[in-house]
Amino acid sequence: MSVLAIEDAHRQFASGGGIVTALDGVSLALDRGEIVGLVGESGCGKSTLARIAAGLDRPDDGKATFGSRPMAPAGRQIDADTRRRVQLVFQDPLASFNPRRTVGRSIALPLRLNRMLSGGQERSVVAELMDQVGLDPALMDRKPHQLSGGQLQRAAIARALGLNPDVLICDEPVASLDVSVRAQILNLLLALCRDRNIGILFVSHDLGVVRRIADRVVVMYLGRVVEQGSNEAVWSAPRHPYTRALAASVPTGAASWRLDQGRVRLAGEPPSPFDVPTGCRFHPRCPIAIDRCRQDDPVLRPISQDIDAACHLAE
Amino acid sequence: MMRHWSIGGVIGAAVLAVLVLVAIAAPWLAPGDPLDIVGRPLLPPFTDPRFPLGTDQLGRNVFAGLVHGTRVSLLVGLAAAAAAIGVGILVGTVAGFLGGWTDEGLMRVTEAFQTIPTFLLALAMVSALGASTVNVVLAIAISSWPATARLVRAEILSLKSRDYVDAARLAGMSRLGIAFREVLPGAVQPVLALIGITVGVAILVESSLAFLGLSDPNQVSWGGMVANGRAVLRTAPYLVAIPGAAVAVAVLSVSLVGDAMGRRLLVSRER
Amino acid sequence: MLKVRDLAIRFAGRSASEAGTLAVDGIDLDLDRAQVLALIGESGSGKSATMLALAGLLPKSAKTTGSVLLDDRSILHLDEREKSTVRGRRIGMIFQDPGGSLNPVLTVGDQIDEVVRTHRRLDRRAARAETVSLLSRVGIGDPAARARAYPHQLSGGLKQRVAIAAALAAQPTVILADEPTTALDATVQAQILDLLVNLVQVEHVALLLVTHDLAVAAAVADRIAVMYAGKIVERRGPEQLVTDPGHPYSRALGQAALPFVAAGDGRHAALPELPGRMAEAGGTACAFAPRCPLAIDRCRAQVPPVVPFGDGEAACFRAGETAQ
Repeated sequence: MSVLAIEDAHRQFASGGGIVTALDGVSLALDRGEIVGLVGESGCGKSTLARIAAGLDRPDDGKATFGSRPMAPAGRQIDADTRRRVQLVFQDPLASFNPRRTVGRSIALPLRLNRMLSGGQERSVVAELMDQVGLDPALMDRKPHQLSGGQLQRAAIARALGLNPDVLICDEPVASLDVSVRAQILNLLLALCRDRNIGILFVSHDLGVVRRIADRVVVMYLGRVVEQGSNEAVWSAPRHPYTRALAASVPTGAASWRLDQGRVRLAGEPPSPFDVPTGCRFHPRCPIAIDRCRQDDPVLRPISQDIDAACHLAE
Repeated sequence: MMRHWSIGGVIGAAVLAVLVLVAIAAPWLAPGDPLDIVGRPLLPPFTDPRFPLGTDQLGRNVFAGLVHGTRVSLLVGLAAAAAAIGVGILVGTVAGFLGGWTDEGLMRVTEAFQTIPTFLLALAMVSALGASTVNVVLAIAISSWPATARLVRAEILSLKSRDYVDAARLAGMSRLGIAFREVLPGAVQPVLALIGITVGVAILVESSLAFLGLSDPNQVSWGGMVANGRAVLRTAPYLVAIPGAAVAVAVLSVSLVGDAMGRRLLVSRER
Repeated sequence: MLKVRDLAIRFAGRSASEAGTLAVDGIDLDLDRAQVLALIGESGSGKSATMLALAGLLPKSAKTTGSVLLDDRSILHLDEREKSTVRGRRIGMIFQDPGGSLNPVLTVGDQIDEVVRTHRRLDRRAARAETVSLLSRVGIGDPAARARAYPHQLSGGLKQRVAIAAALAAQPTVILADEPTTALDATVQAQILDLLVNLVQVEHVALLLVTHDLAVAAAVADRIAVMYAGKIVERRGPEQLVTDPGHPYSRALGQAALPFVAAGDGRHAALPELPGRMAEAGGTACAFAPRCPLAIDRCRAQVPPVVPFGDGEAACFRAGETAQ
């Protein structure tokens, strides 16, 4: 039984006079000690799913449970223990710190709110946490804007670790960082997963990063999961044409990439989630769509032992 | 701290400091009731060392009136501005946090107040309630809170959706804690930039009301002094010019200080 | 055709007493028609300042020295009027945020019409015909109808195509593109990269691509210049830079940015890290030495000269060596 489970979640938002369907029946499971990569393009619903997983939002329909307890009980607060066990690392580290508080005070805040600090030990506990994420404790008294992006993202991870969580939701945690700093943060996350048995939901539009660190991969398109499976399986032999196109669209670094005539090239852009196509929602851009795809909505089904895909033609 | 202030801000702060000192020291600078008749009427300034700024047509000491008028102007200005900003923060906070129908309702009321010019509203209220210092403060406060309310509400709406507010929720902070510790301090900060304008307007409205005779008759006020001097404008123009200049200097200094505070705020936000 | 020699840029300090910061520390660039040169680097490398200098968009307080020649004419120290002719007519610009460069209250057609008319003295109808042709050349379907759309009605990818069409409208000789695909989704980024490669050939323009992404640069460029702390530390063809980097910084960038080349070895294996932060420009030693796994005493004592390496050059005493 997975520690964090989201089952058949639906979520819609009213926006500018229309209804946006962010999630349309999405299930997701996360165990301790594993890294699940959640990938997709803008508007696919991955950020909404991350917020639900973190308990910051609740599905209109469907279930989100942590252990055996509901993550999002209707109309009530999540109990403090469940809340503590799931923590979130944000995309923009600067925005995730209160600008009027020192970094050390921000790291201490969750501990104080959860009465995990006794008088006088705040500074030593914060220093210990900062040390664990490779951050110089001398930076404790700085304000957020005085730290670099990489340092702040470490501080954000230290803040999350203070509550000793079972699960860390990381929403594009390295997207705003310089390339050479990314590896430092990714290694830190890998170490947390390995050494502390923390489960990580790693949300990213960057397939390269996901490919490097994930155990399992979930690919979303327009509010649905279109493919999921083990990291190796999904990248070595993707079954859904969207995953194939996504993988092919990432420059490989080889100059031959641009000349590669056989590369899957997608026409058009992800349609607006205001107006979801009938049938398979990928069919207007799909290079192999057949008549059936225009009418029948494919369900996510097991294709092989370690891969599921939502495509009529997958085998 | 001062070294980041503009020259205007420093001058404004210096003048304001002098005004505050004058207001505090009024009983010593000009002992006795400034409304008492103490000398020959219509003495021009700089002719009698006992009345450095001369006397009015009833023989009252203009210097004493000016000094004691500082008290009234600053007191009414600051009290009214404080009340206006207090009400504005309260309304803006409630509207911003609760949202929905409460927000709708409060914002319609705010707009209703905003459509009536500040001075007309204050005038109507003082005429209805009677001319006393407390009523003048109330009238000015009630007519000038909407700007603060709208500013605070807008700030709260923007701050509420920040990542660090979500971070505080994840840390287990209660809704009240988030409101008072995460959102409100940031939302109230920009109000600092409004203080100068609000106090300046309050001083101006107070003087205007006094000019129209709508102020406590037992208190000397710059506006009242201008109104008095108007009758002898041709023969003794200093009776209008001196209190008029005092109003201008007070409003200008308050605005300069407010402007400097606003700029500092902008700088600290950009960092 | 575009020739940059010993370009240095210093931004003014906050007060007159402060020395200011050196952003670019003497770089050379050469770019010909129908060629793509990619300038890659992280924040603080000086790549953005370089681009702003070429575009004539640096703030007045910034001091520039060296020379920038476009078709043998200096474009570095021009007055405002000359600058705006050069900027619009001979240099086209594409920015990271495609929405930011488009006027929200005009249709995209009107905006491109205006560029076409000011620079090419065409009448209204001829200009619109040219606009439609431009939109079609940047791969926009139904261009006549799309010309009547406002920017907010278009998706991010379409807006970037429109921005590219607008940059081409004055028939410039050089296009400067600043992170043109960073804000776009993966599949759309691939489309825009394909488009840029194609346009450089068809329209016969030179493209200077400024990006932080080595993979993007390698996908598009004929030559890549790697910037670090205000200097160009390596200049190579994309193939060799990726497979056989000369400078240890280029190697580190490749390992960090090219997951598909250096695939992970086993579950949860650590990725190669680059410790520390970028040094400030203008030192008297190799700026990369404090972070470099290969650094020797010599690296900390003097600035390494540029030496030929592979199909290009590198500024490193130990070019091509790898850490054991």
